[in-house]
Order: sequence, then structure tokens, then C-alpha cells
Amino acid sequence: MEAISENKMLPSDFSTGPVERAAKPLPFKDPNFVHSGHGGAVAGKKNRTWKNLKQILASERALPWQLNDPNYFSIDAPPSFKPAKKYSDVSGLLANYTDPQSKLRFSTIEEFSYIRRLPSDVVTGYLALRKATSIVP
Amino acid sequence: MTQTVHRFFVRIRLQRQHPRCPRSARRFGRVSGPDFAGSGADRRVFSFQSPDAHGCLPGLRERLVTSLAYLPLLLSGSMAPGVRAECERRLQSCGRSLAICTFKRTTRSKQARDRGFHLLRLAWFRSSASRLRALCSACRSREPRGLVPRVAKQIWPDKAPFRGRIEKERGRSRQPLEPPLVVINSFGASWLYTLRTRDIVPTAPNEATLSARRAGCGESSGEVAGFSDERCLKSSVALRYARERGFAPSVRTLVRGGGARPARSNMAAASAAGPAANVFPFRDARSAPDPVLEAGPVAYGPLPVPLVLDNGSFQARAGWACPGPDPGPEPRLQFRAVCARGRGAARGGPGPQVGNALGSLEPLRWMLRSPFDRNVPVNLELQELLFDYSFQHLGVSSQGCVDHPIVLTEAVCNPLYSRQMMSELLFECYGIPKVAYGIDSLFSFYHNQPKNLISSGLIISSGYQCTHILPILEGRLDAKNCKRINLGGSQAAGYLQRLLQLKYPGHLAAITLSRMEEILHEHSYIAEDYVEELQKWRCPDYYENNVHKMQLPFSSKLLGSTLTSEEKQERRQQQLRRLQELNARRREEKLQLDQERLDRLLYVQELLEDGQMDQFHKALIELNMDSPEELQSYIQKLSSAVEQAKQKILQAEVTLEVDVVDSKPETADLEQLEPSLEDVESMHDFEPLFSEETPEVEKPVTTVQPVFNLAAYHQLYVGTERIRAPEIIFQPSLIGEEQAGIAETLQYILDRYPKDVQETLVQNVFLTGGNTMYPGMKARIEKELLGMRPFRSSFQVQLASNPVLDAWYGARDWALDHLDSDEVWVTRKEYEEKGGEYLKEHCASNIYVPIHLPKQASRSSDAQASGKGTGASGSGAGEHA
Repeated sequence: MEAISENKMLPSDFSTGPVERAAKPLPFKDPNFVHSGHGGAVAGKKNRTWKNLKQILASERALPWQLNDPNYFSIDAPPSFKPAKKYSDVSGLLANYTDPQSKLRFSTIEEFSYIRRLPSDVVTGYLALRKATSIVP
Repeated sequence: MTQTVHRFFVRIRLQRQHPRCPRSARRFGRVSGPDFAGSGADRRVFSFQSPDAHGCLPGLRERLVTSLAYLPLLLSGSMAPGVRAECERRLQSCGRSLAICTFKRTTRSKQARDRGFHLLRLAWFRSSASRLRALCSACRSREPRGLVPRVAKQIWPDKAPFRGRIEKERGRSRQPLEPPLVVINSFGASWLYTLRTRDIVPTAPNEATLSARRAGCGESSGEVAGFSDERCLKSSVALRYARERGFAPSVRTLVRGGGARPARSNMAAASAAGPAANVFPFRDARSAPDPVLEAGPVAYGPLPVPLVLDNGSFQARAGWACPGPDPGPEPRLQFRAVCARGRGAARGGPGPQVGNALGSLEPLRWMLRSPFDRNVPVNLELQELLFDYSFQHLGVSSQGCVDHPIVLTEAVCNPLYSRQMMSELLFECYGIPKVAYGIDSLFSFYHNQPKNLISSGLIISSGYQCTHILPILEGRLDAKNCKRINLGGSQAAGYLQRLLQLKYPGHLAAITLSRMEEILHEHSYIAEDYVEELQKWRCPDYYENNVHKMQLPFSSKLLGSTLTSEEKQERRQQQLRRLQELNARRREEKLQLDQERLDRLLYVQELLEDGQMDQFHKALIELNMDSPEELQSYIQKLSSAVEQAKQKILQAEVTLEVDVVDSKPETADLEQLEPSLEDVESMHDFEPLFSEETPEVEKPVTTVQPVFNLAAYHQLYVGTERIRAPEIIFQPSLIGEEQAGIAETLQYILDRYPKDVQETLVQNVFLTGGNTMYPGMKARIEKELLGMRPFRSSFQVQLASNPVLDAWYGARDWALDHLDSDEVWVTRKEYEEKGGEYLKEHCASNIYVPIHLPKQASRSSDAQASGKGTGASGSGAGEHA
């Protein structure tokens, strides 16, 4: 299919005085090229953005894959079967204990006193770091 | 037995019913259970609620007398004062000193806690050795049975505990006791242990205790042993008291499972030896802009020279694949695959800057955009910019098209859509003749294998965004069994950044991603055995030696910190004086003007008086006044104003003589410094090594020379983070990911093959990719493999010779090898016939699945095309054996 002939460069670029890299057309490329994946001015105001990976994968799933075909999402590593070790949020040592108030893990008494004195945003930060911020206990 | 001895007593008070307490309500009963040590002799448990009138407890005297004879310490709950005095008196009369433990750890009453009493239960087990064992109610569950004797054995390996029968003694104890041992566990609970009696008594020695022990032993200090946590040991009550009283017990620290370490007598000095070692500055490197290179004669030969582009999400590497005997050095261009579009771009300012032309990335962090989403290029406009940059700087000068074949790397199992987009970009925008897609880790693999050898192996390729494990069978990728873990260098950098930001909330802005990358590249390593390494990090010694203190840049010219308060006052006074002078001058000028005006009016008035009417009227008109009365009133007003001004001037001169010190509080400077002090405090509270120094830190900053303090405030302590951040690919649960780590995924993949294939695969495990460059990576993988392979089977792990650049080298070698063969290049004609997602398979490529994707020319027309076109291009088109 033919590429839609449209001047990709904004005309204003040519009128600027000092020669800038964006303005100067590079010799080895076709100045009339427009990406078909990108909406551009042709497709209208909507859909100007590129598809991100999630969208690409979603549309890929819809294609007629066979059972054994390798594709991007079938290659994802499986979830772990082993129970995760618990490490202290503050120091990274093995944590045997969890603070019932803030659900942070700690391994020594000093860490506990440190945790109890933390402001709440730091506490949420630590929990978010290991994705444990859900409200459900 | 003398009567006096009978007056020994100890107050036992039952404070709390521990759920495992076997004797909750029993008195004089026979109890047996798992908690009681020793032989199966009958045990009696006595619990007493209240003393009798003399403070003596009935029924216990005889027994306790004998045991307590050897205890230099008595433990007590909260005693009534009279009882206590009585106790002391009676004991002293027998030549024993009483020491009361005043350490309390109960949550029941704050008051009691403040008084420092130790609540406990004394449970007395009568066994053949007449031992008294006391258990602390708070830490009963934490005392492992046999802990203390084990510790004692380590401290005194040559001394055996006394095994004879303890005789009843009269009066003063004749034999000096060995120095008893105080064992402190990681919770701060401490026990007293003597070899003679083998009694294990919970205690928290205070001064009375220690002196008592000293008196009882006739020797100097007792031994104090810390168990498994030296940090706790340092901060424990016992030692603090000992130190405060100028009494330095010899301390040993024991690591669980290990032996006793050599004693250190002076622990306070350890933290004061503030090592200037281990302080590292941040390099904060800026990249230099690449020059526009001339292609030179290498680019032009009989055949157009292929361009090799290793398109990575972290870095893009580009160069020529020059044929001839000498392939050439490393790729000519290596730049970060980012571009920054400045805010002025839309208005015609400088266009988007790419890669190395950006200099340092940090100021532009929010404007950085990358064409990649995970490891797949999705934003081809930015990709086009990157290509423009690389072609321009490589010196491509062909007109109208790029006249060189291109070797490009893509993701493992690249989505067809993105390959289509990429082909479209290459063929239609740049007009290249032919392209070959490959996988970077496979190129690296082939670069590191001996030539012309078809090999099998297992590639572990860890990049910036994700980690792949690829089995290779007979030289071809077995794509069905590949696995990808979505964690790589960028997630490690993000994790490290958030860890440090949470630890040092004051330096939020200074903890940037590029600095994190620097820490990862230079200061991190992978622990061979993670849990063991963490145990090593527990010890303050090891911590002290191995922590890396990253020095953040700071300016010593903090507001007002270089001036003392006197200087500040001086400055304030100077400012005041200046202001006053200014005001005075202004007043004088005004006065002068008014004076002149007054003179003029007076002159006009005189005109009136003199009778020169017409002149007078003329003057009045000039002055814009109507009548002589108005003139008069005006004159009056003006003269009074002049008078007042003169008064004021006189006053101001007077006040200038007196030094007025303005008492305006100067809070601005101090407030700015206090938040940093608080951060330092919170950070220091956790680091126990600096717990002794916090009192100094809290002093107000008005003292002179705060220079070294400032440097310490701006240091980031990277301790266990050195191993935590790279560990996420092995344990993704650290970061909350549900995927399995490298080891488990490896096992999962190996289990999908029969045993003999597993053997061949494991003989050639190959590590590549930038994220594998941590020291210790190879050892770790070897250890994991050792754990999962059968006993006495062999395996071989190999690291790529240059994990970062080997992909490019491999692609270049491949291009040179396959210049002539047409079966591996996708030409423009084939692109036009078969669509952009067409791929020709070769030894380093993905597997091509012949699904046709309709070309998306304009979004509105066939955006809804479901792409269910059958594989019209023929399934045999791309198969290569």
C-alpha cells in the first residue's frame, strides 16, 4: 500500500533561521513518510498515540495461534511455587516478625522501634515496594 | 543448718499466667512436661502468692537456702519497701549480699516499667541437682533450652560445669565463685549462669548486680556474652550500666552456629573509629556528544557494507560490519536509547535531543522518552529519531535511501505487529535493500562459541527490562520452551532508588536513577548464598567494614551556618543603621523642599503687605490660589510641617547614638536545618553504630565548624542494599512480583526435557546481558544448578566475554558470514509481497509463525480488521533446518 503522501515535517521548521537538526531534512530518508501505526493528522484528532505493549499483546492474542506456537505472552515465566522468604522491610535481613499495626516486617528490636516511629507515608512506601498495600487484611 | 540461714528468703511473685505455664494454679503439685529439663526425677513446682509476716515464704526455706547459697543475685519483683529492707538486712547478716534486679519488662503498668522492675515468675524445679531455674515471664518463650549452657561451652570450652552435689554450706561461702556468665540474647533478655551451680537465672544486671558479683567472686568483671546479635549486645542494659560505672566487662560475641569471636574490650571505641574508608563520591558522569563521523572507505566496498544495529532498551549500539581481515573495533556508537523533547520543540525550538547529545540525563528525567515498552519498540516515531541519530553519526550519506543492508536485533518472540511496524519504518522511510532480524542473546552466544560448531546450550540473558532463559538445541532456538522473567536492571535500579528514598526521605531529590545505576554498576554484587550473606551483614563489624557510604554533593555554605551569632547580629545592626540613615536623608530633603516653598509663600505674602497688588495677584494665580486667606492658611500648614520635620530629625539623630538591637527572631535559618537534623536522627536511630553519636548531632548548629557533620549528613549508607537490589531476579517476591526467579524457572525449563537432553543443555549454560555483570553472578548460578541437578552430575557455566557488547560483535560476525546468502535476508520485494511481519529464520532468529497481519494504512479504515487471515504465505516459507 502506498504511503500517504504527506509532509511529515511541520512547515514552520523550515522557516526558522538557524539550521537545526530537526529542521534540516536528512538525506537518507524519505521526507514524505508517515507511520501507519500512528494516527497523524489523517486519522483525525483521536487515536494519535501509539499502541503500548499491553494493547499490542491484546490484539495479538486474537490471532489464530496454534497450541505450540511461541509468542510473546506464552513465554512469560510461571509464578513461583515455592513460598517466598520474608525479609525485613527496613534492613533486608530475614524477618521473623511482622508489626501488626503497620504490617511491616522486621528482624530486630531496634528495627521495631524504628518502624513504630516512621511517618505514615514512609510506611506506605515500604508496603508499596513489595506490593502489600491492599486494604484487605 | 544454722538458724540464720533459714532466714534466707526470696520473694516470688506470680505475675502472669503464661499460656504454656504448666503450673498455673498448682501448688506443690507434680508436674512434668516438655518444658522441664533434666532427668525424670520428681519435680515440684511452688508458687507463692504472698509472704508471711516476716516476709518469709513458708515451705520453701529449706530448699531455697541451699540453692541460693550459690547465687550471688536475687531477683525480685516489685517488693514492698519494708520487705526489701528486711531482705537485705537478713542476707547481709549471713554474709551474703543481696542484689535486686531492677529491670522490668512488662507492659502491664507503665509506672512499674519506669521503675525498672523485672517481673518474673520463679519456678523451682527440684531435680537431682537442686537447681533453681527462673524464667522470665516476658521472655520465657524465647529462651531456647540449652542456649546458655551451649554458650557457656563456647566461652569456657575447657571448663566443665560442676557435676557434684552441691553441699549445704554454712555462713559465708568459702569457695570463690568463678566469674559468672551473663548471656544476652537478641532480644536483650539476659541470663546469669554460673559453672558451679549451672543455674540459669534471668537477669539484667545493674550496678548492684555487678558489684555483688564482683564481691562474690573476688575477681573483676564477669564475662558477658552476646548471643547472635552484637548490635543488641552493645545496646543492652547490662553493658551500658557496666560502661557507665567504669567497668568494662570482657565481651564476646557469638554468632549463631559459629564459635566465639575474640573478645573486644572496648566497644565504645569501635564506633568512634569512624572510618573515612568506604566513602565514595558519585561520579555523575555526563555523556559527551558523539561526533558526526565520516563513514570512510570502510563503508564502501564492492557490496554495500551492512550496518549492524543492536537495538536495546537500555543502550543502542550501531556500527559497520566491515568485511576484510580485520573486522574492526567496538561499535562506533553506543548511546542511551532515549530522547528528550524539550518544551520548546513544538514552537520551533531545538528539536528532540537523542542519546549522548543529552549530556546528563537527570535534569531531563521527566522529559525522557524511549521507544521501548518493556523490551519491544512500540513508539516508532522515537525509534525513527534514534535511527536518524545513528545513521547521521555513522556517516550514512546515500541520497534518498540508506543503501546498506541492516542487521537489527529484536525481542524474543517479538509480536508480529511490532515487527511489521519496524519493517515498514526501515523499508519505507529509509529504503534499505534488505534486513535481517535476530535475537541479541543468540548473537552473543554464537560469538562466544567456537566457530562452525553446532552446539546446544541454555542461555540466561538478563537485560535492562527482562531476563530470558533460552534453550538452544542443535543450534536452533527452542522457542516453545523459552521463558521470560519481567525483571531486569531497570527494576533493580527502581527498587534501590525507592529503598534509599524511604530510608533517607530528606534526600529525595538527590537520589536519582542515574546515581542508582552507578551504585548498581560499581558497588553491588550478588551473594552466593543470600541468607548466609545476610547473616554476615548482621554483625556490626562486617557492616562497618563493608558499608559503602555514598557521598552526595553538598554545599557547605548553608544559610548562616558559617556565621556565628555575633556576626549575624552585627549584620543586622548594620542593616538597621543603613535604613535609618536613608530615612534621615529623605526627611532632610523633604524639609529642604518645604522650606523653599515656605520661603516663596512668605515672599508672596510680603508682596501683599507691601501693597503691590497686581504682582500679588499674579503670584497668587501662579500658585493656584484664590485669596490671601488661603495663602495664609497654607503658609501656616507648611510652617508647622517644617517644624515637625525638624523635630523628627533631631530625634532620629538622638536614637542613632543609642544602639538598638532588634530582637527579631531569626528562625528562618534554624528551621531549614532542623528537618535535616530530624532526618539524620531518624536515620541514625536505626543505625545502632551511631546511637552514641546522636547526642552530639542534636546540638544547635550555631557552634563553629560544622563541616564534618555536614558531610556525614549527606552520606547514604548502602549496606544490605548492595545485595538486595540485584537479588530481585532470583527472588522476585522481594519486589512483589509473582513470577519465579531464575533458579526456579531454570528448573521448570529443564524439567520439560528428557534427562539426556537436560544433561546436554546443562553442560553449556551461558550468561549474557548487561545485568549479569555483577560480581558473584556466575558463582550464584553455579550454586543454584548444583542444588537442582542430580548428585554428582556435572554442569558448566560460562559468562560471555563482554556481556554488554557481545551481541553486537556476534551480529557483526554473523553479518559478515552471511553476506552472500539470500536465505536469511528479507528483501524489499519480499516485504512488499508478504507483509511486514515476515521473518526469515536463521541460526539466531525467532521462530516465524506464519500469521498474516493486515497492514494498517489508516487507522479508521481497517482498525477493526480482526486479522484472521489464514497463513496464505505458506508455512514452508520460512523454515530452516
